[in-house]
Amino acid sequence: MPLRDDVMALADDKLMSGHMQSDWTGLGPILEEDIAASAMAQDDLSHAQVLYEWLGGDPDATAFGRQAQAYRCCDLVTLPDEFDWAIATARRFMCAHFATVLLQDFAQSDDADLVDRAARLLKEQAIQTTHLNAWIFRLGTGGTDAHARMQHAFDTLSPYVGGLFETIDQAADRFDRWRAAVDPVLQSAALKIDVTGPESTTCGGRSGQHAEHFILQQAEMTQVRSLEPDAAW
Amino acid sequence: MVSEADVRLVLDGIDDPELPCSIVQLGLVESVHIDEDRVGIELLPTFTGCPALDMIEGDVRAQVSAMDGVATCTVRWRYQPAWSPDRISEAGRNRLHKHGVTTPTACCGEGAEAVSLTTSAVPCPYCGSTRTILDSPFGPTRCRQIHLCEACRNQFEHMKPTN
Repeated sequence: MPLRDDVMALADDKLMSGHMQSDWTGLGPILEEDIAASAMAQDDLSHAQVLYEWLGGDPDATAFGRQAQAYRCCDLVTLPDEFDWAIATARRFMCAHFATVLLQDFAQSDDADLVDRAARLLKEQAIQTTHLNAWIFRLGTGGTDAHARMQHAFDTLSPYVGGLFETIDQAADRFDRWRAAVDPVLQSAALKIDVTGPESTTCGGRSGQHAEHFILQQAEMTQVRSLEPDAAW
Repeated sequence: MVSEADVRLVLDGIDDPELPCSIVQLGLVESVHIDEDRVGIELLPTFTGCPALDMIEGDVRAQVSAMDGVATCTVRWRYQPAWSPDRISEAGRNRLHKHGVTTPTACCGEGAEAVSLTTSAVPCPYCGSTRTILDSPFGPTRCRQIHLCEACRNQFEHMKPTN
């Protein structure tokens, strides 16, 4: 079922990215961006929940009750950013546009419930992409140092972009739409990403062959549930 | 048997935990369905990540279940129609405005076009100036964003447009 697989891939991306991004709470470079980072993390976790609900079963069990190999998130979302704001921003930007492409297709699917959910999430996703586009432009055009840091971030992350599209249905078409969304923003900021196609790299996350940084994150995230599966707050 | 009007009256007494505004005034109540002594209520989340949703759901279930003639109350969150600030009632807009929170259309007078947020020409709730800019689309809660008034230098909150 390509549709279910794609929904699971995006939901797992959102879960892990929400978890990773919340590390920035209290540490953002300025107050507004600290709040924005936390708000986007909160958005991502709730988007994961809305998509897990559609997939069926208890969303908490899906989020925290699976073996590491059962997660379908790509390697890009759990790559440590070492608290480098440029890496964090570049990654959010690329992931938010990827999410938009998939949600647009979910909103055109044959499943009425998924259509409703995706249409709702797209409205929230649009606030993220608008905000992130503005920051890519601002940092890319913000002087030599800011530009160099942003370009370094995109150079560091480029090898992982193919992983976003790994196992994804209609990867070539969706990759083109993703490029069409990110390229004008990057060009406006004189930034570039060295990625030629969706198959440019393979990482393994989408098929459950996870890197160590995912395994560590997932172990940390599921620690309470592993110790006490029925714990209530 | 309990009437829909009675149920809506009770719902109008339940304030959002984070705003001085009832869930009816905010436009969260999509439908009230009554079947003998069973009440089913459909609510719309302002944002899916709003942490107050569980609290609102609990308040609704507790207060409606406690009504005479009601045996059970079920609450369901719906994603369509999607909530937007357009659903906030006039009374709700007034209460929010008094609290220093502006809304996308309340500021523009009757029959006026909604102010486009990208221009951020939202009149300041404190001094009325339209020399205001969008400071950040992410505010203290999921449904609010931060504007800055360049005239009086106050920050104020604006209900986030979602359309």
